[in-house]
Amino acid sequence: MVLSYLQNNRLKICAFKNNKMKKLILIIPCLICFNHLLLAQSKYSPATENQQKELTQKITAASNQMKTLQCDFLQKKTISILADEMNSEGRMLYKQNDKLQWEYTKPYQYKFTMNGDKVMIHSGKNKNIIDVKSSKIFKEISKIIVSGINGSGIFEQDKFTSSFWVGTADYKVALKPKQKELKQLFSNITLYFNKNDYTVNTVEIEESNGDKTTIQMKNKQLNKELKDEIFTIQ
Amino acid sequence: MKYLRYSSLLLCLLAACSAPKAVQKEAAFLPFWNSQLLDTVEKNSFRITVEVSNANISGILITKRLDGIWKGTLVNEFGLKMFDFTCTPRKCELIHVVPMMNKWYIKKTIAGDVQFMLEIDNPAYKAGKEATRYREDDAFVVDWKGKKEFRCFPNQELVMKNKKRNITYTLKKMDDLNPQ
Repeated sequence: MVLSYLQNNRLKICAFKNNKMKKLILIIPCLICFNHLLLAQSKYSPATENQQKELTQKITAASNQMKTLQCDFLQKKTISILADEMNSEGRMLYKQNDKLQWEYTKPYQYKFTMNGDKVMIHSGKNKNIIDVKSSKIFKEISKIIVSGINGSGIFEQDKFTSSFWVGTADYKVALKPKQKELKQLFSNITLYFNKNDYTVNTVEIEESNGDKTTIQMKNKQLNKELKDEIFTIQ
Repeated sequence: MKYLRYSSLLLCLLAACSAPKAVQKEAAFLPFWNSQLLDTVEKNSFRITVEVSNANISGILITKRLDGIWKGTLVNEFGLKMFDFTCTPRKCELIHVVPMMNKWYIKKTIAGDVQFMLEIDNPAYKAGKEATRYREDDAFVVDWKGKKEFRCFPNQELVMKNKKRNITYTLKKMDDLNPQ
C-alpha cells in the first residue's frame, strides 16, 4: 500500500518535473525568438537632430547630382483579403527632372512613360496618352514614383510628415501623408536610402486599406546616358 | 391490387414524361467556366480591362474561393488597389474601394457584374439559372435577358458586357503571380 502510494507520488513528481521541463523547453525558444524580434525591431534608431540635418543635406545633394538613373525593380504586394501576395518585376529609367519610364516585364507587360505633364501607357496592345493635369490619380502616382526614386518626397513638407531613422545598413525615412486625397490612398510611405550613395534602395507603400507594396531597386546605374527619345510621347 | 396497378402505371408514365425534360434542362445548363479558366481551389489571376464609354481602366483581377465565398481584389498594374470584393450567389459586395470609385451606384453596378461573372454557373444564382447559353461563331455565350452577356472566345479571352450601363470587361487568364 505504502509502496504503491510512494510510487504513485514519485510518478506524479516525475510527471510534474517533466511538465515543467516541457514548459521550459517551450518557453526558452519563445524567449529567444522574442529577443530576436526585439533586436530586429530595434534595428533602426530615431535620428538625432544633427543626423537628420546631415541626412537631408546628403539626400538633397544626391538628388541634385542624379541626372539619370536606371535599374531593375522587384515589386511585392500583399493582398490582405486573400492573405496572399502578388510579385512583379521590371525596369525603370529616370532622367532629371520629369522623365520616367516604369516598365513591368513579368508576369505582365505594362509600360508607363512620363514626360513632363504627359503620360503614355502601353498595356498589352493598347496605348493611351493621358494629360497628368487632368488625371488626379496619375498625377499622384507620378509624383510618388519620382519622389521615391530621387528621394525628393522627404522635402515636401506640405504633403508629408517625415521621420528619420538610422539603421545599421541603411537610413529609413517614413512619410505620413497630410493631405486628405493622399491619406485616403496611403497611410505610410517609407523610403530606405543607401548609406553609400544616398539613393533609394527600397520603397514601402502602405495603403489605408491594409495592403502593402514593397519595391526593391536592383542593379542601379547612376548618371549613365539616357537619350530623350526613350521618353518620347506620341 | 387494382389501384396499385393503376398507380404504378401512372408513376411509370410520369417518370417517362419527366425524364426528357431533365435531360433538356441539363443540356441547356452548360457551364461557362472550366477548371483551367477558373480554379475553385487555387488563386486565379486575370488581366482585366474595363471600358466605360470613352475611358478604359486596366489592371489585375485576383480571386480565390475561400470557405464557399469568392474573395478577390482588383489592383492597377502599379499595385494600387481599386477595390476588394466578396461574392456569393445571393450577395456581392465591394469593400476598400478607392475614393474615386467610392460611389454607391458605381459599387452596385460593378458588384452586380462581378457576381454575374463569378457566379454564372452556380445553380443558386438566379441570373445564372435564367440566362440562356449557346454557341455563336466559336464563342460560348451566356446571355441574361439581353442585359448582360458573357462570352468565352476560343483564344480563352473572356468578354462580359453590361449592355444597360454600356460597360465592357475583357479578361485574360494570367500565369501564376508568385513564380517560385
